[in-house]
Amino acid sequence: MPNSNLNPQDSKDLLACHECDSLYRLPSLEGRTLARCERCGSVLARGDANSIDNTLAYTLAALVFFTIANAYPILGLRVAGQEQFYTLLSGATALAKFDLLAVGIVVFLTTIFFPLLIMIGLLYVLIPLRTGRVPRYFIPIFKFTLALLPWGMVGVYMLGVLVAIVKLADLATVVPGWGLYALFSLLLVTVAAAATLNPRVIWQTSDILSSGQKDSLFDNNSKDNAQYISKPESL
Amino acid sequence: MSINSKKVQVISARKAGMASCHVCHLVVSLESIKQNNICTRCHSPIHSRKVDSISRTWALVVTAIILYIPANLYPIMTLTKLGQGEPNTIISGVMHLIHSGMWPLALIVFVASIIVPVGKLLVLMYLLMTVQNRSYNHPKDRTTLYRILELFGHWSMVDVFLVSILVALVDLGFIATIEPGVGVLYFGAVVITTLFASRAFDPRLIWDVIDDDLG
Ligand SMILES: [Zn+2]
Repeated sequence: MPNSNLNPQDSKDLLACHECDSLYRLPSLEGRTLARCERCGSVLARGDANSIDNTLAYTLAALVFFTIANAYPILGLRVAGQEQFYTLLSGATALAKFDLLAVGIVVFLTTIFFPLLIMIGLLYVLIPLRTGRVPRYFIPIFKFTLALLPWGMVGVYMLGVLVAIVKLADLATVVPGWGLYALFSLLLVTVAAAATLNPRVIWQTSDILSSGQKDSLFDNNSKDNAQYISKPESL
Repeated sequence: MSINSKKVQVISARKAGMASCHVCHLVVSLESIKQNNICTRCHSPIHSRKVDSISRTWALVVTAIILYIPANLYPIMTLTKLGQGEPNTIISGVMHLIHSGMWPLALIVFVASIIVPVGKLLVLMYLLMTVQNRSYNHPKDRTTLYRILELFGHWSMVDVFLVSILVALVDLGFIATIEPGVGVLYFGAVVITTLFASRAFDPRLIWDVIDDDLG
């Protein structure tokens, strides 16, 4: 078997493709380099330059926009002198009034609660890491945050708002509120935060910090490309 | 059976006696975690492949198909204008948008509420059946299909969000009100079930047949 030259001790830089299980040895990646799986084409890893700083900045911005988006009405409807406003929260609670509590809860969780937990989780993990410290309960909290990521649906919700605006245009005058602009900004920074978020780097950083080799964190000059232990000649 | 020779030569983690953690992606040797099967870094349970992937995915796919029937039969919302009620199912909602000339909107709702969930279920069934038949064909394309599923699956939620927004906003007494229908409950359940279904599927199963044959 080929595992004779695979020492479990140095498995930290091994990476198995998520989608086809091909095994690679992956040293540090430069800048915005993307390492793709040779066999199935999936992205194995991304370059790690400033990933933590960027994610942190976008997440802080997201928290600000999130607060505004929740505090101010998203849309108002004006018809025959009557005006009706709606906030992010009232979208979820309105469903509860009509015996559709379950749907209201799902809307609340995916558009308000999970996005908030994700932001708090990322800040809790990233701020200490940025200052060279591993926060308490790093592992369970970061795991939980990662698991929630697919359930934050700000982008989809924004599309729903846009569809609603167009749909209602023939029924009444739709007035955009401050919450709408905040929601749109939230979407942009959320996409940016997700694009820069690099869990591999975060796990590695915490590994390095907890093993006390702080210096090696800033010694990222290695320019190796991904080398493949999976090539038969190397076995 | 010969696999086409220009194929990239790789070894799978499993063949190398290793497995990667689902959560933190650390690659560990199965030998070293024999006692408890827990990731040495993040303490998550480690499995070389997702557990019971095929049967769990099938179960979720079938559940989603069953739920999709009431999701389409019951109205997702009722618009009452000047006392006149007008219940809308997903399909009649799309028709209504087409008749009012709102083509781009009709297209968005049609894609999000019909094409995405139905397409997702069909693709999952195709992936499940090819894996169960130990198919050699187009593993890369099938993996890409799976990747697309994971990327776009949650966009079907747009219809659920749309209903919640309209219900909250259009509450103008006699002039116009929108009430949600039970269809939106079933439709939301379909979307969530398909999200879990695609998560339950393990794309590495597509490649295991090929790896097994390489010996
Ligand atoms: Zn791959």
